[in-house]
Amino acid sequence: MYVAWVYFVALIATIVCTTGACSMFDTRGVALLERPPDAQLKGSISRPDKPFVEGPPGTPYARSSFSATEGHYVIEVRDLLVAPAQQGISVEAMGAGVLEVRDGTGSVMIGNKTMAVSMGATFFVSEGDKIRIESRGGPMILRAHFFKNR
Amino acid sequence: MIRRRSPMPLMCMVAGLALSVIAGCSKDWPAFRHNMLRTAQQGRCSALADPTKAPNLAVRWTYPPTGALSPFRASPVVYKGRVFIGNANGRLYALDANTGTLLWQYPSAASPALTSQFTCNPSSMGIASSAAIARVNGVDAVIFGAPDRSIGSGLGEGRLFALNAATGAELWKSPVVARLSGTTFGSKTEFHEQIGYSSPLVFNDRVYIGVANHCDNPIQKGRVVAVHLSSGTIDTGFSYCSTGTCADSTRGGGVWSSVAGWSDSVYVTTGNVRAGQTFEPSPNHGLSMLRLNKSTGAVIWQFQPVPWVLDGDPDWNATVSYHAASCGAMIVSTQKDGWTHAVNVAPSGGTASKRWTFPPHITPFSPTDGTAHGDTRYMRSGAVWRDVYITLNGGLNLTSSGVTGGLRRLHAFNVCASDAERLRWLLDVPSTTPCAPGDTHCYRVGQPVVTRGMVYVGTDQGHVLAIADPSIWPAVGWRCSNPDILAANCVASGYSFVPEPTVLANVALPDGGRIVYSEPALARGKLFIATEGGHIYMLSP
Repeated sequence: MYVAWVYFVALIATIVCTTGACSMFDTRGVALLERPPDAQLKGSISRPDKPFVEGPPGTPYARSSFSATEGHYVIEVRDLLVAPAQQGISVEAMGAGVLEVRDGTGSVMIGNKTMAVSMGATFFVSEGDKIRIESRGGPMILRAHFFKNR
Repeated sequence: MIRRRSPMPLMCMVAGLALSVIAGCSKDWPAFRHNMLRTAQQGRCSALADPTKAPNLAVRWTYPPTGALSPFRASPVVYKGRVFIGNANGRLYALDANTGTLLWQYPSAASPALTSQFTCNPSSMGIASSAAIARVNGVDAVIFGAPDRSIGSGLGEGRLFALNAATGAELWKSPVVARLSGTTFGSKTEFHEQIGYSSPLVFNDRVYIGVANHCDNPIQKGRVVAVHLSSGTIDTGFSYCSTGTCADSTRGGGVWSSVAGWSDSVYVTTGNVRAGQTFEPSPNHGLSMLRLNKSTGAVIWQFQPVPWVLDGDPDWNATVSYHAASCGAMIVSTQKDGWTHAVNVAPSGGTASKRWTFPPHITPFSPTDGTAHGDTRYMRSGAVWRDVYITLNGGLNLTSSGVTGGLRRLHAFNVCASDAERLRWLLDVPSTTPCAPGDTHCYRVGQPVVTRGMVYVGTDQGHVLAIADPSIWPAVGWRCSNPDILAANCVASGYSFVPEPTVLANVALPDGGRIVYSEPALARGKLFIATEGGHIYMLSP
């Protein structure tokens, strides 16, 4: 009887080994990590190298990607983030420019013209154009290349 | 009366134990990424899996104890108290796992080393391919791929070797599997094949290996070759070529990764096709994740996220993982352009059935979607733990900020969750020295491995890190899922908070050599790792 029990325990241990804890087929899943309440949320020490910075209300989160002055020209490349919570943002073209959508989808209104845009879209603006941008379904990030005669 | 005991329980136990070994339940680390599924997961309990002991991780022995060998690009495998690893000097070393003592080397010091006359990158220097353990005709064997000047053209054509694991004696040598008929850069009349980036897959009675090329000079036709485990002879019933037919002159789709296998199939990723070619070959299995029939090599499904027109050389260099998750089995891997893809094992109507892409995006990519796909160095294989896949990835800022940030960052994904909950945690791996001016690929992380939620990884600054999944050890804090967003603006910007796991150990190895190709091997509570400084280290808590 004792020997049978030894066999039985060994067999169970072997089965557990092959089907569970130590098998590469570990299909037990794992719980998602729950975010603690805001009051208990401890920030990490990681900081973005080039973070987007919040601007005045109604303007995008922005960061400068590149800036140069060459002869009579100023070249400014800025990244703009339009958050879904913002009810659209407005930007005034500081020079003639090309804007490209780097992430997300939404709509762009220049003057009276509105167009739907998604990642990969590019469009042109003239100096002084008022550009209204709305994101859809999530944040939208654009890269704006402005060229201005000093 | 003598009662005869039934042999059934014993037979069950033996069968179970055998299944256990076959199924990858090994305390050892007998293959690149630990097992045939390439999960890079050590499932057995040990001090390495204990977050309270991991901080004590320290070097216990070094080989060689004085001086240094050439750089290691291969990873160690560990079996029955022995460590096996090939070196760029063209020799395979067998060491005592407990002491680091040299047991044997192959070829012997008096014999020519296994090197190629065509050397252009780390995969072509000596033995870059990691070994695999197998039973060959009743003998424990170590199998590896290497160039050999004693065969064929004499230039260092690639072949497989099987050695007695105990003695280093030859069991067999395969015929040429990677042809090298000349060394003229750019020659389209010579074969420039090599197997340095592919570790042999031992799967039932076959050994599979991927064939790529020497630095795209020029690209060759990608292939997977199978040999018989018992003899090393080529299995002519298995045939896979990435472009056109195996007999035509089309090129591309090099297999720069290791083959994974399970059930009736093998899984593989392939490289670029467009370099130097005017027309797209048909079929074109390049830049793809593929499921192949293990007996014939026939394609069961193909997932090709980057089409020919966008082929800027994002070779799919990372080995796939077969991820048997709670929501179903999927094949997961990160392509060189920084995108991670998960594809269901089961096809849908005969074609690949994608499960998810991170960062989320429609595939195949299109010329108008603003994405770029080049040789941007996401070459490391990921690790599987339960429903979690740990890997390098370009991140949620991949398209807005470029590809380089993710090279120093580990992502963990919930493979069964929705896109919104895909990202489990995010870690900027600590750097100890500033990057050199103009080094846009600084700072690089190696290939992660995992044991019960403890992640181990090497870095290009010669460190070994122990990182705890926040489910087994509290996170150090929470950060924005998009690395470019300040925590204060995270939710308002449309992103979410994710935990940053705690780095429980950060061990600077004495030689400071890079560890970006070689993976840590976790076996019986010990961690074995090789560096480009030419050393193998054993660490334990």
